[in-house]
Amino acid sequence: MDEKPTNKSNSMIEFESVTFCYGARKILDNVSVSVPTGKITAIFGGSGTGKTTFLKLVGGQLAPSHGTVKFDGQSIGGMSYKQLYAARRRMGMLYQFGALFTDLSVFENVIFPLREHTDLPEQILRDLAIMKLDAVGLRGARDLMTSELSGGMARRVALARAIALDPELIMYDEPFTGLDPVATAVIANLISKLNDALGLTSVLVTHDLEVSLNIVDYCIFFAAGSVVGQGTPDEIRQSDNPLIKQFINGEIDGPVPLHYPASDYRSDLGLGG
Amino acid sequence: MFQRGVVAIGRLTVNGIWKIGAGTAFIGNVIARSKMTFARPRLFINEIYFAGTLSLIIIVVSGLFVGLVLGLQGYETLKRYGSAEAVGTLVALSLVRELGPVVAALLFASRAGSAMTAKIGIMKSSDQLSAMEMMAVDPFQRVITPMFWGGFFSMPLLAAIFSAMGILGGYLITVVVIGVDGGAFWSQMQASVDFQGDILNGIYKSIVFGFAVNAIALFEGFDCLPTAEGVSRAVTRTVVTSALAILALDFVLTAFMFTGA
Repeated sequence: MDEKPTNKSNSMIEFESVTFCYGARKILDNVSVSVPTGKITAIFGGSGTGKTTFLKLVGGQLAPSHGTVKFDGQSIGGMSYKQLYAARRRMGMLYQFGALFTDLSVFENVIFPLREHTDLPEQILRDLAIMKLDAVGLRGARDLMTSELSGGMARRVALARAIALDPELIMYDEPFTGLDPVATAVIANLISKLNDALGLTSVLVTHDLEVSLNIVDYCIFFAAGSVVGQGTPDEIRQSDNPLIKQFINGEIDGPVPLHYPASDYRSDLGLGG
Repeated sequence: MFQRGVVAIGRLTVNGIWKIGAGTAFIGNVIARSKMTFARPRLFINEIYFAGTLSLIIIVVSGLFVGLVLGLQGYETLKRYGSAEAVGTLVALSLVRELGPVVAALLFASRAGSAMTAKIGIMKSSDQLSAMEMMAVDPFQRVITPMFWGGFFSMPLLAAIFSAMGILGGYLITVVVIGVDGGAFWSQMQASVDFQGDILNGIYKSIVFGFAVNAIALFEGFDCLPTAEGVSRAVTRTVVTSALAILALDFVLTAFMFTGA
């Protein structure tokens, strides 16, 4: 049923000279980067540096202005509607706040993709959904409505839903934002365990360096729409790149300025100058 | 100042044209991707419940009160000319030709149309539509199209129920309360209401209104800015645009259907 290409390259995702613009604003500027298959890769960068755009380009929800985005060797832009949807069945995506369907229960949320894509008997679907919920430790919460979940639980349910179709690639959009330290550790642990247990390729878009560097295999740094550095966590920690150093040490000012570009302060206050 | 005015008019015009184009493409998409709705009737039935059944209370109660007022006003006027028995005709014709389709559509836009816009808008702003896309489920086929057809088929039924309740209201006030002859009330109505010319034309109107209101409501939800403010503005636009569209379309349809015959 699935159209699975035989081309098994070392890179699950490849960006070849990708530029993406929102109107006149350039979000990604001539980015060429690869995400290795079977590893956890983190995409770091401050707010508005094009990290989420990166994920949307991989999922085919946005199209690059120039360049090519490849998923498992196939160009996303060259796919037909049917091929794109077949490719998306091999991807899972965890949204920043879960994006759970609010009119469905936890169990119904997890079983949703299974119901949509398979003709399996209800009993098997139920067992599969329970297994996915058990994998994230929420088997007992299956009858809750999404409004009854905490932020961390909602993200774990969303994770169970994202792995429901046994994807090959899973993308996490800011998985640690707004979570307490325990929930953060739980999610980080799940990301790491699932990647190994299910043989996934994981892409983690985040600005939470401390937690991420402990679980990822490879890091890519974005700043102002370009890749400014990449390497293993150890290489990143020892990097001399001022942008990366500013990010790691959390310095207020540096290559990434605190202030948004503005006119002269004195003249703005009417003091002449 | 003058330049700014020209720029504003230009922007409004361009935005308006863009919106008409985007709306037309949206409706084209809805119709083109309707296969799943009819292949999975459960989706469609759920939406008939959401748009139709849940609108019943407001339709039934409003229909009854409109009929009561129409009966009372009609009786008071017709009595002066000694033809109080014709009140049945007046109530029935007013309802099936005009008030039934138009008022039911206005109520539908406020109750179901606004709810549709809010639902799609919130699904969009909380990434639920995007998440569905990434699960390889087309939100058009799974959410938007069933809503459209559910609302589309509910509208004529709601208009018919509105008219029926209105006629019942007219009967209650004139025959039961005031004492107009019941036989004359029904027989005059039966003699003067034409199935083709009055009832069918009323149904055609409600079909057109149903198409317009559902298209506007879903497009506004889909097109809204994904913020709380954006959703609230989209809901307002749905109610206002739908009301204007219903009244304008009613004028055009009436001009074609009931004049020159």
